Amino acid sequence: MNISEIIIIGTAVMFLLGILVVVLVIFQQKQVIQHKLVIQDKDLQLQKERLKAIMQGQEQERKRIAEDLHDEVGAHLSVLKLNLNHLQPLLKNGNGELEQLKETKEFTDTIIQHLRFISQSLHPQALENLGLSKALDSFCNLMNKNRQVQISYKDDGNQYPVDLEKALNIYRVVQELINNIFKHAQATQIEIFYNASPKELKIQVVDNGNGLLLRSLDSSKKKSGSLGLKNIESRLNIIGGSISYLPGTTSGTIAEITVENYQSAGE
Amino acid sequence: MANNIKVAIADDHKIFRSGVINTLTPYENISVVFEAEDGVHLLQIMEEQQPDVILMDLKMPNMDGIEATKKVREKYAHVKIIVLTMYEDDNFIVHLIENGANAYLLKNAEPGEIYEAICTTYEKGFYFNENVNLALLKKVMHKNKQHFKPTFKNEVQLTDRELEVLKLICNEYTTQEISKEIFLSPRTVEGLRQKLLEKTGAKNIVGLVMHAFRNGIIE
Repeated sequence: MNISEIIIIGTAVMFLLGILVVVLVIFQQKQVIQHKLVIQDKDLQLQKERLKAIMQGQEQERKRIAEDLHDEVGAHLSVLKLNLNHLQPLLKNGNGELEQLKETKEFTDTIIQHLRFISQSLHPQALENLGLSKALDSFCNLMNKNRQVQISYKDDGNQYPVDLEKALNIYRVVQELINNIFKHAQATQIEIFYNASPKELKIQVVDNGNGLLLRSLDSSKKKSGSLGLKNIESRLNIIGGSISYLPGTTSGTIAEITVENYQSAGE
Repeated sequence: MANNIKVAIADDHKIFRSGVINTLTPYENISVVFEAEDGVHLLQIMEEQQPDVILMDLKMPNMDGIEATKKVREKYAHVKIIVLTMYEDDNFIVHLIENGANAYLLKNAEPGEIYEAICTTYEKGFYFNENVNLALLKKVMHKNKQHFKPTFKNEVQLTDRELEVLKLICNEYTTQEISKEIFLSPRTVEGLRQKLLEKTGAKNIVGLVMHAFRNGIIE
Protein backbone atom coordinates (compact mmCIF):
# COMPACT_ATOMS: atom_id res chain seq x y z
CA MET A 1 0.00 0.00 0.00
CA ASN A 2 1.48 3.31 -0.93
CA ILE A 3 0.98 6.64 0.67
CA SER A 4 -1.39 7.97 -1.98
CA GLU A 5 -3.79 5.07 -1.48
CA ILE A 6 -3.76 5.64 2.27
CA ILE A 7 -4.50 9.31 1.74
CA ILE A 8 -7.40 8.52 -0.64
CA ILE A 9 -8.91 5.94 1.69
CA GLY A 10 -8.34 8.24 4.68
CA THR A 11 -10.01 11.13 2.88
CA ALA A 12 -12.93 8.93 1.87
CA VAL A 13 -13.41 7.74 5.45
CA MET A 14 -13.16 11.27 6.78
CA PHE A 15 -15.65 12.40 4.12
CA LEU A 16 -18.11 9.67 5.04
CA LEU A 17 -17.70 10.48 8.71
CA GLY A 18 -18.31 14.13 7.87
CA ILE A 19 -21.52 13.26 6.03
CA LEU A 20 -22.59 11.07 8.93
CA VAL A 21 -22.06 13.91 11.35
CA VAL A 22 -24.05 16.31 9.15
CA VAL A 23 -26.86 13.78 8.77
CA LEU A 24 -26.93 13.18 12.52
CA VAL A 25 -27.04 16.89 13.23
CA ILE A 26 -29.88 17.43 10.75
CA PHE A 27 -31.76 14.46 12.15
CA GLN A 28 -31.39 15.74 15.66
CA GLN A 29 -32.46 19.22 14.66
CA LYS A 30 -35.54 17.79 13.04
CA GLN A 31 -36.41 15.93 16.20
CA VAL A 32 -36.01 19.07 18.22
CA ILE A 33 -38.31 20.93 15.88
CA GLN A 34 -40.81 18.13 15.94
CA HIS A 35 -40.70 18.07 19.68
CA LYS A 36 -41.26 21.79 19.78
CA LEU A 37 -44.20 21.40 17.43
CA VAL A 38 -45.72 18.74 19.64
CA ILE A 39 -45.34 21.00 22.65
CA GLN A 40 -46.85 23.89 20.72
CA ASP A 41 -49.73 21.68 19.66
CA LYS A 42 -50.32 20.65 23.22
CA ASP A 43 -50.12 24.25 24.29
CA LEU A 44 -52.69 25.20 21.69
CA GLN A 45 -54.90 22.34 22.73
CA LEU A 46 -54.53 23.36 26.33
CA GLN A 47 -55.36 26.95 25.48
CA LYS A 48 -58.42 25.84 23.56
CA GLU A 49 -59.56 23.72 26.46
CA ARG A 50 -58.93 26.51 28.91
CA LEU A 51 -60.94 28.90 26.75
CA LYS A 52 -63.70 26.35 26.51
CA ALA A 53 -63.71 25.90 30.27
CA ILE A 54 -63.82 29.66 30.84
CA MET A 55 -66.68 30.05 28.42
CA GLN A 56 -68.57 27.15 29.93
CA GLY A 57 -68.10 28.62 33.38
CA GLN A 58 -69.31 31.96 32.13
CA GLU A 59 -72.39 30.39 30.57
CA GLN A 60 -73.19 28.48 33.74
CA GLU A 61 -72.92 31.61 35.79
CA ARG A 62 -75.11 33.53 33.36
CA LYS A 63 -77.71 30.78 33.44
CA ARG A 64 -77.74 30.76 37.22
CA ILE A 65 -78.16 34.53 37.45
CA ALA A 66 -80.81 34.52 34.73
CA GLU A 67 -82.79 31.81 36.48
CA ASP A 68 -82.48 33.39 39.90
CA LEU A 69 -83.67 36.70 38.52
CA HIS A 70 -86.45 35.22 36.47
CA ASP A 71 -87.73 32.61 38.90
CA GLU A 72 -87.07 34.07 42.33
CA VAL A 73 -87.24 37.79 41.83
CA GLY A 74 -89.90 37.32 39.16
CA ALA A 75 -92.13 35.24 41.41
CA HIS A 76 -91.86 37.79 44.20
CA LEU A 77 -92.63 40.69 41.89
CA SER A 78 -95.69 38.82 40.64
CA VAL A 79 -96.86 38.39 44.22
CA LEU A 80 -96.20 42.09 44.81
CA LYS A 81 -98.48 42.85 41.90
CA LEU A 82 -101.18 40.51 43.25
CA ASN A 83 -100.92 42.14 46.68
CA LEU A 84 -101.23 45.59 45.17
CA ASN A 85 -104.48 44.40 43.65
CA HIS A 86 -105.76 43.40 47.07
CA LEU A 87 -105.25 47.00 48.18
CA GLN A 88 -107.62 48.33 45.57
CA PRO A 89 -110.94 47.70 47.36
CA LEU A 90 -109.49 48.96 50.67
CA LEU A 91 -108.48 52.34 49.36
CA LYS A 92 -110.44 55.51 50.03
CA ASN A 93 -111.20 57.47 46.96
CA GLY A 94 -110.84 61.18 46.53
CA ASN A 95 -107.21 62.07 47.10
CA GLY A 96 -105.82 60.26 44.11
CA GLU A 97 -105.15 57.03 45.98
CA LEU A 98 -106.49 54.86 43.17
CA GLU A 99 -104.43 56.69 40.58
CA GLN A 100 -101.38 56.27 42.74
CA LEU A 101 -102.07 52.56 43.04
CA LYS A 102 -102.57 52.21 39.30
CA GLU A 103 -99.26 53.93 38.69
CA THR A 104 -97.52 51.64 41.17
CA LYS A 105 -98.99 48.58 39.44
CA GLU A 106 -97.84 49.80 36.06
CA PHE A 107 -94.45 50.48 37.52
CA THR A 108 -94.28 46.90 38.81
CA ASP A 109 -95.16 45.65 35.33
CA THR A 110 -92.34 47.74 33.89
CA ILE A 111 -89.86 46.21 36.33
CA ILE A 112 -91.07 42.72 35.41
CA GLN A 113 -90.68 43.59 31.74
CA HIS A 114 -87.09 44.73 32.34
CA LEU A 115 -86.43 41.60 34.34
CA ARG A 116 -87.63 39.43 31.47
CA PHE A 117 -85.40 41.27 29.02
CA ILE A 118 -82.31 41.02 31.21
CA SER A 119 -82.89 37.40 32.04
CA GLN A 120 -83.52 36.34 28.46
CA SER A 121 -80.44 38.22 27.25
CA LEU A 122 -78.37 36.50 29.90
CA HIS A 123 -79.63 33.06 29.08
CA PRO A 124 -82.19 31.91 26.52
CA GLN A 125 -84.56 29.53 28.30
CA ALA A 126 -86.20 28.63 24.98
CA LEU A 127 -82.96 26.96 23.88
CA GLU A 128 -83.37 24.04 26.26
CA ASN A 129 -87.10 23.63 25.84
CA LEU A 130 -87.75 24.47 22.21
CA GLY A 131 -84.41 24.14 20.40
CA LEU A 132 -82.06 26.51 18.60
CA SER A 133 -84.33 27.65 15.79
CA LYS A 134 -87.19 28.66 18.11
CA ALA A 135 -84.74 30.28 20.52
CA LEU A 136 -83.31 32.43 17.72
CA ASP A 137 -86.83 33.39 16.68
CA SER A 138 -87.61 34.38 20.27
CA PHE A 139 -84.39 36.37 20.40
CA CYS A 140 -85.47 38.32 17.30
CA ASN A 141 -88.91 38.97 18.83
CA LEU A 142 -87.24 40.29 21.95
CA MET A 143 -84.89 42.55 20.02
CA ASN A 144 -87.74 43.84 17.85
CA LYS A 145 -89.60 44.89 20.98
CA ASN A 146 -86.65 46.89 22.25
CA ARG A 147 -84.88 48.29 19.19
CA GLN A 148 -85.42 50.40 16.13
CA VAL A 149 -83.87 47.90 13.75
CA GLN A 150 -86.25 45.33 12.28
CA ILE A 151 -85.02 41.75 12.45
CA SER A 152 -86.89 39.11 10.51
CA TYR A 153 -86.30 35.44 11.07
CA LYS A 154 -86.96 32.58 8.65
CA ASP A 155 -86.22 28.92 9.10
CA ASP A 156 -86.62 26.09 6.61
CA GLY A 157 -88.87 24.15 8.97
CA ASN A 158 -86.28 21.44 9.52
CA GLN A 159 -86.05 20.72 13.21
CA TYR A 160 -83.02 18.49 13.50
CA PRO A 161 -81.99 18.47 17.16
CA VAL A 162 -78.90 20.59 17.75
CA ASP A 163 -76.34 19.58 20.38
CA LEU A 164 -77.05 21.86 23.34
CA GLU A 165 -73.52 23.15 23.82
CA LYS A 166 -73.14 23.85 20.12
CA ALA A 167 -76.57 25.45 20.04
CA LEU A 168 -75.65 27.82 22.85
CA ASN A 169 -72.42 28.82 21.09
CA ILE A 170 -74.22 29.37 17.79
CA TYR A 171 -76.87 31.41 19.60
CA ARG A 172 -74.15 33.58 21.14
CA VAL A 173 -72.45 34.03 17.77
CA VAL A 174 -75.69 35.28 16.22
CA GLN A 175 -76.28 37.52 19.25
CA GLU A 176 -72.76 38.95 18.91
CA LEU A 177 -73.18 39.49 15.17
CA ILE A 178 -76.44 41.38 15.73
CA ASN A 179 -74.75 43.50 18.43
CA ASN A 180 -71.96 44.33 16.00
CA ILE A 181 -74.42 45.24 13.30
CA PHE A 182 -76.23 47.53 15.78
CA LYS A 183 -72.96 49.15 16.75
CA HIS A 184 -71.20 49.56 13.43
CA ALA A 185 -73.34 48.81 10.41
CA GLN A 186 -76.10 51.46 10.71
CA ALA A 187 -78.53 48.99 9.24
CA THR A 188 -82.31 49.40 9.33
CA GLN A 189 -83.12 45.81 8.49
CA ILE A 190 -81.61 42.48 9.38
CA GLU A 191 -82.67 39.12 8.02
CA ILE A 192 -81.70 35.77 9.51
CA PHE A 193 -82.05 32.55 7.52
CA TYR A 194 -81.80 29.20 9.25
CA ASN A 195 -81.03 26.26 6.99
CA ALA A 196 -80.47 22.76 8.27
CA SER A 197 -79.55 19.61 6.43
CA PRO A 198 -78.70 16.41 8.29
CA LYS A 199 -74.99 17.11 7.86
CA GLU A 200 -74.68 20.84 8.01
CA LEU A 201 -76.27 23.84 9.63
CA LYS A 202 -76.08 27.17 7.85
CA ILE A 203 -77.22 30.46 9.31
CA GLN A 204 -77.09 33.63 7.27
CA VAL A 205 -77.29 37.04 8.86
CA VAL A 206 -77.95 39.66 6.22
CA ASP A 207 -78.01 43.38 6.95
CA ASN A 208 -78.68 46.38 4.72
CA GLY A 209 -76.15 48.63 6.42
CA ASN A 210 -72.90 50.24 5.33
CA GLY A 211 -70.85 47.07 4.99
CA LEU A 212 -68.46 48.08 7.76
CA LEU A 213 -68.63 44.60 9.21
CA LEU A 214 -66.30 43.47 6.43
CA ARG A 215 -63.67 45.99 7.40
CA SER A 216 -64.00 45.15 11.08
CA LEU A 217 -63.36 41.55 10.18
CA ASP A 218 -60.14 42.49 8.41
CA SER A 219 -58.91 44.48 11.37
CA SER A 220 -59.92 41.73 13.78
CA LYS A 221 -57.59 39.46 11.86
CA LYS A 222 -54.86 42.05 12.32
CA LYS A 223 -55.64 41.83 16.04
CA SER A 224 -56.87 45.42 16.32
CA GLY A 225 -60.46 44.39 15.77
CA SER A 226 -63.35 44.40 18.16
CA LEU A 227 -63.52 41.93 20.99
CA GLY A 228 -66.93 40.79 19.80
CA LEU A 229 -65.76 39.58 16.42
CA LYS A 230 -62.83 37.79 18.01
CA ASN A 231 -65.30 36.20 20.37
CA ILE A 232 -67.22 34.92 17.37
CA GLU A 233 -64.08 33.37 15.91
CA SER A 234 -63.10 31.62 19.12
CA ARG A 235 -66.60 30.32 19.82
CA LEU A 236 -66.85 28.84 16.35
CA ASN A 237 -63.35 27.47 16.71
CA ILE A 238 -64.44 25.56 19.80
CA ILE A 239 -67.41 23.88 18.13
CA GLY A 240 -65.66 23.36 14.78
CA GLY A 241 -67.69 25.89 12.85
CA SER A 242 -66.71 28.68 10.51
CA ILE A 243 -67.93 32.09 9.44
CA SER A 244 -67.50 33.99 6.21
CA TYR A 245 -68.47 37.54 5.29
CA LEU A 246 -69.52 38.71 1.87
CA PRO A 247 -70.68 42.09 0.65
CA GLY A 248 -74.47 42.18 0.25
CA THR A 249 -76.07 42.42 -3.19
CA THR A 250 -76.96 46.10 -2.92
CA SER A 251 -75.52 47.16 0.42
CA GLY A 252 -74.57 45.76 3.78
CA THR A 253 -72.99 42.46 4.62
CA ILE A 254 -73.92 38.80 4.43
CA ALA A 255 -72.43 36.79 7.26
CA GLU A 256 -72.70 33.06 6.90
CA ILE A 257 -72.15 30.68 9.79
CA THR A 258 -71.57 27.05 8.95
CA VAL A 259 -71.39 24.21 11.46
CA GLU A 260 -70.98 20.59 10.49
CA ASN A 261 -71.89 17.62 12.68
CA TYR A 262 -74.10 19.83 14.76
CA GLN A 263 -76.71 17.28 15.78
CA SER A 264 -76.85 15.92 19.29
CA ALA A 265 -75.50 12.42 19.62
CA GLY A 266 -77.87 9.57 20.22
CA GLU A 267 -80.83 11.06 18.37
CA MET B 1 -122.19 31.70 35.91
CA ALA B 2 -120.82 28.23 36.43
CA ASN B 3 -120.78 27.31 40.08
CA ASN B 4 -118.02 25.79 42.06
CA ILE B 5 -115.16 25.32 39.66
CA LYS B 6 -112.46 23.20 41.26
CA VAL B 7 -109.05 24.74 40.68
CA ALA B 8 -105.58 23.33 41.37
CA ILE B 9 -102.31 25.27 41.40
CA ALA B 10 -98.98 23.80 40.36
CA ASP B 11 -96.10 26.16 41.17
CA ASP B 12 -92.84 25.69 43.03
CA HIS B 13 -93.10 29.02 44.84
CA LYS B 14 -95.28 28.78 47.92
CA ILE B 15 -95.52 32.53 48.17
CA PHE B 16 -96.93 32.74 44.66
CA ARG B 17 -99.40 29.93 45.33
CA SER B 18 -100.70 31.76 48.41
CA GLY B 19 -100.86 34.97 46.41
CA VAL B 20 -103.07 33.33 43.79
CA ILE B 21 -105.27 31.70 46.42
CA ASN B 22 -105.78 35.05 48.13
CA THR B 23 -106.64 36.56 44.78
CA LEU B 24 -109.23 33.89 44.02
CA THR B 25 -110.84 33.84 47.48
CA PRO B 26 -113.36 36.65 46.79
CA TYR B 27 -114.80 34.72 43.83
CA GLU B 28 -117.41 32.45 45.31
CA ASN B 29 -117.83 30.11 42.37
CA ILE B 30 -114.19 29.07 42.53
CA SER B 31 -112.56 26.84 45.13
CA VAL B 32 -108.90 25.93 45.17
CA VAL B 33 -108.89 22.21 45.91
CA PHE B 34 -105.16 21.56 46.11
CA GLU B 35 -101.65 22.90 45.51
CA ALA B 36 -98.73 21.01 43.95
CA GLU B 37 -95.05 21.88 44.11
CA ASP B 38 -94.08 20.45 40.74
CA GLY B 39 -95.31 18.26 37.90
CA VAL B 40 -94.59 14.99 39.67
CA HIS B 41 -96.47 16.13 42.75
CA LEU B 42 -99.39 17.30 40.61
CA LEU B 43 -99.76 13.96 38.83
CA GLN B 44 -99.48 12.16 42.14
CA ILE B 45 -102.39 14.08 43.65
CA MET B 46 -104.40 13.72 40.45
CA GLU B 47 -104.42 9.95 40.87
CA GLU B 48 -106.75 10.62 43.79
CA GLN B 49 -108.71 13.67 42.71
CA GLN B 50 -109.03 15.75 39.59
CA PRO B 51 -109.71 19.46 39.46
CA ASP B 52 -111.65 21.14 36.68
CA VAL B 53 -108.91 23.64 35.94
CA ILE B 54 -105.16 23.62 36.65
CA LEU B 55 -103.10 26.79 36.95
CA MET B 56 -99.75 25.55 35.70
CA ASP B 57 -96.35 27.18 36.15
CA LEU B 58 -93.80 26.30 33.47
CA LYS B 59 -90.48 26.36 35.30
CA MET B 60 -90.60 23.78 38.08
CA PRO B 61 -88.09 21.26 39.44
CA ASN B 62 -88.44 17.51 38.88
CA MET B 63 -91.06 17.82 36.17
CA ASP B 64 -91.65 21.15 34.47
CA GLY B 65 -94.97 22.52 33.29
CA ILE B 66 -94.40 21.59 29.65
CA GLU B 67 -93.98 17.93 30.50
CA ALA B 68 -96.80 18.02 33.04
CA THR B 69 -99.17 19.61 30.50
CA LYS B 70 -98.50 16.77 28.04
CA LYS B 71 -99.01 14.15 30.74
CA VAL B 72 -102.23 15.67 32.06
CA ARG B 73 -103.57 16.02 28.53
CA GLU B 74 -102.79 12.37 27.82
CA LYS B 75 -104.39 11.02 30.96
CA TYR B 76 -107.17 13.45 31.80
CA ALA B 77 -108.62 14.85 28.59
CA HIS B 78 -111.38 16.77 30.39
CA VAL B 79 -109.15 18.73 32.78
CA LYS B 80 -108.44 22.25 31.55
CA ILE B 81 -104.96 23.69 31.81
CA ILE B 82 -104.16 27.38 32.16
CA VAL B 83 -100.46 28.11 31.88
CA LEU B 84 -99.50 30.82 34.36
CA THR B 85 -95.88 31.77 33.82
CA MET B 86 -93.23 34.48 33.77
CA TYR B 87 -92.21 33.54 30.23
CA GLU B 88 -93.49 36.02 27.69
CA ASP B 89 -92.49 34.28 24.50
CA ASP B 90 -94.59 33.54 21.42
CA ASN B 91 -92.77 30.29 20.82
CA PHE B 92 -93.62 29.06 24.31
CA ILE B 93 -97.26 30.05 23.80
CA VAL B 94 -97.57 28.13 20.53
CA HIS B 95 -95.70 25.13 21.90
CA LEU B 96 -97.89 24.88 25.00
CA ILE B 97 -101.17 25.39 23.15
CA GLU B 98 -100.10 22.74 20.63
CA ASN B 99 -99.40 20.39 23.49
CA GLY B 100 -102.78 20.77 25.08
CA ALA B 101 -102.86 23.95 27.18
CA ASN B 102 -106.23 25.73 27.07
CA ALA B 103 -104.96 29.18 28.00
CA TYR B 104 -101.66 31.01 28.49
CA LEU B 105 -101.39 33.82 31.02
CA LEU B 106 -98.50 35.83 32.40
CA LYS B 107 -97.98 35.86 36.14
CA ASN B 108 -98.42 39.59 36.27
CA ALA B 109 -101.86 39.35 34.68
CA GLU B 110 -104.70 41.22 36.40
CA PRO B 111 -106.72 39.11 38.88
CA GLY B 112 -109.80 39.79 36.79
CA GLU B 113 -108.15 38.14 33.84
CA ILE B 114 -107.10 35.08 35.81
CA TYR B 115 -110.69 34.73 37.00
CA GLU B 116 -112.08 35.21 33.50
CA ALA B 117 -109.66 32.65 32.12
CA ILE B 118 -110.74 30.06 34.69
CA CYS B 119 -114.44 30.57 33.96
CA THR B 120 -114.01 30.68 30.20
CA THR B 121 -111.81 27.59 29.91
CA TYR B 122 -114.26 25.78 32.18
CA GLU B 123 -117.26 26.74 30.08
CA LYS B 124 -115.92 26.98 26.54
CA GLY B 125 -112.82 24.82 26.65
CA PHE B 126 -110.31 27.56 26.00
CA TYR B 127 -109.46 31.19 26.69
CA PHE B 128 -107.21 33.03 24.25
CA ASN B 129 -106.18 36.55 25.09
CA GLU B 130 -104.51 38.94 22.68
CA ASN B 131 -101.02 37.54 23.35
CA VAL B 132 -102.10 34.02 22.45
CA ASN B 133 -104.07 35.13 19.40
CA LEU B 134 -101.12 37.09 18.04
CA ALA B 135 -98.67 34.24 18.66
CA LEU B 136 -100.94 31.72 16.92
CA LEU B 137 -101.65 34.06 14.04
CA LYS B 138 -97.94 34.62 13.53
CA LYS B 139 -97.35 30.90 13.53
CA VAL B 140 -100.04 30.30 10.94
CA MET B 141 -98.76 33.08 8.69
CA HIS B 142 -95.24 31.80 9.03
CA LYS B 143 -96.30 28.26 8.18
CA ASN B 144 -98.10 29.39 5.07
CA LYS B 145 -94.92 30.91 3.69
CA GLN B 146 -93.03 27.65 3.64
CA HIS B 147 -93.68 24.09 2.59
CA PHE B 148 -95.38 22.84 5.71
CA LYS B 149 -94.36 19.90 7.79
CA PRO B 150 -96.51 16.78 7.66
CA THR B 151 -97.81 17.35 11.18
CA PHE B 152 -101.29 16.48 10.04
CA LYS B 153 -102.43 13.74 7.75
CA ASN B 154 -102.72 15.14 4.26
CA GLU B 155 -105.72 14.53 2.05
CA VAL B 156 -108.30 14.70 4.81
CA GLN B 157 -111.77 14.17 3.38
CA LEU B 158 -114.40 16.08 5.33
CA THR B 159 -118.13 15.79 4.83
CA ASP B 160 -120.19 18.92 4.18
CA ARG B 161 -121.56 18.79 7.73
CA GLU B 162 -118.08 18.54 9.21
CA LEU B 163 -116.85 21.41 7.03
CA GLU B 164 -119.77 23.53 8.17
CA VAL B 165 -118.99 22.81 11.82
CA LEU B 166 -115.28 23.46 11.28
CA LYS B 167 -116.03 26.87 9.76
CA LEU B 168 -118.29 27.76 12.68
CA ILE B 169 -115.64 26.65 15.18
CA CYS B 170 -113.15 28.91 13.43
CA ASN B 171 -115.63 31.74 13.83
CA GLU B 172 -115.57 31.23 17.60
CA TYR B 173 -119.01 29.60 17.84
CA THR B 174 -119.59 27.53 20.96
CA THR B 175 -121.12 24.08 20.76
CA GLN B 176 -124.49 25.54 21.82
CA GLU B 177 -124.37 28.22 19.16
CA ILE B 178 -123.37 25.76 16.47
CA SER B 179 -126.24 23.45 17.39
CA LYS B 180 -128.70 26.36 17.06
CA GLU B 181 -127.14 27.47 13.77
CA ILE B 182 -127.32 24.14 11.97
CA PHE B 183 -130.30 22.61 13.81
CA LEU B 184 -128.52 19.65 15.40
CA SER B 185 -128.44 18.63 19.04
CA PRO B 186 -125.38 19.76 21.04
CA ARG B 187 -124.50 16.12 21.49
CA THR B 188 -124.32 15.58 17.70
CA VAL B 189 -122.23 18.73 17.33
CA GLU B 190 -119.90 17.44 20.03
CA GLY B 191 -119.65 14.18 18.07
CA LEU B 192 -118.85 16.04 14.85
CA ARG B 193 -116.20 18.04 16.65
CA GLN B 194 -114.66 14.80 17.91
CA LYS B 195 -114.80 13.37 14.40
CA LEU B 196 -113.01 16.45 13.08
CA LEU B 197 -110.23 16.03 15.62
CA GLU B 198 -109.83 12.39 14.64
CA LYS B 199 -109.85 13.02 10.91
CA THR B 200 -107.41 15.91 10.93
CA GLY B 201 -105.17 14.35 13.56
CA ALA B 202 -105.35 17.58 15.58
CA LYS B 203 -104.99 17.43 19.34
CA ASN B 204 -107.26 20.33 20.15
CA ILE B 205 -109.26 23.22 18.78
CA VAL B 206 -106.13 25.14 17.84
CA GLY B 207 -104.95 22.25 15.71
CA LEU B 208 -108.33 22.27 13.98
CA VAL B 209 -108.18 26.00 13.31
CA MET B 210 -104.66 25.63 11.94
CA HIS B 211 -105.79 22.80 9.73
CA ALA B 212 -108.55 25.01 8.38
CA PHE B 213 -106.04 27.79 7.72
CA ARG B 214 -103.54 25.58 5.98
CA ASN B 215 -106.06 23.94 3.76
CA GLY B 216 -107.75 27.15 2.78
CA ILE B 217 -111.05 26.24 4.45
CA ILE B 218 -111.02 29.69 6.00
CA GLU B 219 -109.03 32.78 5.22
